[in-house]
Amino acid sequence: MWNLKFNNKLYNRRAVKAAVSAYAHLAKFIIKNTKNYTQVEINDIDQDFKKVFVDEFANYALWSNKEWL
Amino acid sequence: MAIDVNLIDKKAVSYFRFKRFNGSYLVTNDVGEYCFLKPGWFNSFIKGEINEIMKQDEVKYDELINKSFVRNKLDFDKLIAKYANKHDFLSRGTSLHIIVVTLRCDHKCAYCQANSGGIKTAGLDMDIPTAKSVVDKIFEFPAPEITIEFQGGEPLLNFNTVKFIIEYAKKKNKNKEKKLTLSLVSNLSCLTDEILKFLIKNDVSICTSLDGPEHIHNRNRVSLNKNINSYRNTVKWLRKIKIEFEKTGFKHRPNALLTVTNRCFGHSKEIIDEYIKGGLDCIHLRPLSTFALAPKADSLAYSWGEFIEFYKESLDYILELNLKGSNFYERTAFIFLYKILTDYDPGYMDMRSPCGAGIGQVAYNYNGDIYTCDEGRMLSRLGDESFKVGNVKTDTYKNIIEHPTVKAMCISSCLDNIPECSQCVYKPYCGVCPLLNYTESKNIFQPFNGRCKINGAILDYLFEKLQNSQYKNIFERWVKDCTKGKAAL
Amino acid sequence: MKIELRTKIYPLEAILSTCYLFIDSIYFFLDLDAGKDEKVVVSLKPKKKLSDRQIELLKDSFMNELLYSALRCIVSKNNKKIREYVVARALYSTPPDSNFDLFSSDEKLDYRDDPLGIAVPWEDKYGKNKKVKKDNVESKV
Repeated sequence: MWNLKFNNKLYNRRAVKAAVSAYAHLAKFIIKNTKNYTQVEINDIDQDFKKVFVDEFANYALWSNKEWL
Repeated sequence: MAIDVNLIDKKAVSYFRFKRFNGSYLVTNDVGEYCFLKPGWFNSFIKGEINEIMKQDEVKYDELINKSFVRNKLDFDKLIAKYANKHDFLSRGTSLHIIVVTLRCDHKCAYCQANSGGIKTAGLDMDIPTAKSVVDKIFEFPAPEITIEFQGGEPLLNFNTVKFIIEYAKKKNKNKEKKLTLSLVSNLSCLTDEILKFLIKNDVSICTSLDGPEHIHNRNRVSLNKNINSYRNTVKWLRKIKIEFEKTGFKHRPNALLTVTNRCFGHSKEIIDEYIKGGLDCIHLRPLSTFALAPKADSLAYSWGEFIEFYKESLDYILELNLKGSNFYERTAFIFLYKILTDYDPGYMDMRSPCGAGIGQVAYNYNGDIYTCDEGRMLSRLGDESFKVGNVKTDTYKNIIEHPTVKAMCISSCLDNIPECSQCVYKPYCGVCPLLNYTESKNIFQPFNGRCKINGAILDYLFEKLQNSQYKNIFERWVKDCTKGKAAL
Repeated sequence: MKIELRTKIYPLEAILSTCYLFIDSIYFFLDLDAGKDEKVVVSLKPKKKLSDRQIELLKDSFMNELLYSALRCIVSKNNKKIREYVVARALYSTPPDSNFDLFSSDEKLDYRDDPLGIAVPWEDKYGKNKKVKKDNVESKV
């Protein structure tokens, strides 16, 4: 299980959601919204992508962010 | 030399974009002015210590002021006028109307993106009533200058409709105050002396494809008529059109385009020599489109790096010829140089911000459907109607211009809206194609693709050459010559 | 590798812009240390295996680009009003009607309201017997 906390001042919530949608077929996600963070719990990551998955997911969320800059 | 952002003089520095360029800094601004600054001068510039630059180089100091880089010495009237001139294309309206009179074609080009039908395929020709509706629609657009460009398939396969459109458009224009330009893009396989006579009489400019010497051209552009050698036929007609241009007062020099495939690599000189031999005064080195639909297109593909190498090799040769007295030029370079070296913008649809989709050009399919551009129309052959904005029979001009797709294309191609582009040093000269972004990533807002890299590399090359006075003189001559004749655009 | 960047010196926009430039070769994760001196903590992980020397060079390269991005942000912010003024004057070549306030009313307008008559067909604008007041914009071609 992986837990990522995306600070809302740095990552727009919609960018994180976009990343979750893009990777939904490769893992199971639970999103929790707190005042300052969007918390994403990641489980059951596809074995073929386990090594790079979390990093790629975080980069995708960062990249998606620019649409809401 | 590191820059200290805390020492920036906010009151002295006008808006600029920049990048490191071979040890110096290249700076540009919103009106397309540019300047090279050594690292020491760059630091002085951002600190507002412009007098330090004056002490060392008065010419550079004057250049910075005259080109509107120094905030407390801005001439606002001049700046505003320049900005207006640079964006004059916005007020011209939808001026380019591409009419696809048939989807039938008698060639099977390896890289063709038009996805044409065979010569005998029924139901792919524009009929006369539809053609009439198309012309009526064209004249609803308020642009004072209209260009009608015939495309296909092979438009001469439906010459009757081409003839009708030309005659009807001219008749309709008699009562208007529009400047009407007519243009035909054809492989010339169906051209006859009689048709040529008609086209010349009606002042129709002619553009074709010439992929280089026979062994390259015929491999890329296969004629379905075994009696026609595509290369020899093209060269024959180019020669005839050139004779008309030189001897009879026909205003339009013949024009040809090249689609670069990997078969061109290693043959840049041969290809350029072929163009010169054919009497052409320029070449347009266009990269292979990523939405090429032909099944063989993959085998012709290459990386953007390979295209850039070929491009530089070709341009080096063209410049070598120019140093020996030739006036031959390359069209992509011309378009960029026109923006860099003049106060105006050529308004080239693919290379402006926002792009021309809908607001600068539209394309009419053989059945009267209207698209934001010809590539949008080509995509419809794959069943994707995302870029359709109406039909000549059912939609008014207002429906078309207010269509949400036109607005989306405009927003997504406005470089000021794109984070990566808005800060790019080449932003004043560049443009994105949202449709290209869409075909690559299903997202019209995705500019970091091969085209961005190609444009950036070409501009790097041109700016490098501009630092050499010999090449700068050549480029200035290209821009001046073409502005006079308006031949390039 | 972690880098702490004070937002007083490096605007957030500059930090994000720089990350985008390197996103093809580096994995990023950003967090905020919202203390007295707000800091963005940037975690960097190269996508490919690099030597220590190469990692140092990458970090230097990132910091250099960050400086450039910060410069761009500052220049952009400082010149915002001038640029807006120039663009507005340049693109609205006819002085706006006194009843039409260019800057305050555009937020209330829907593009379909078409105050400049862009969607008016040729015939309605320039048809027979209609005199047209042409703009006085000079443009040489």
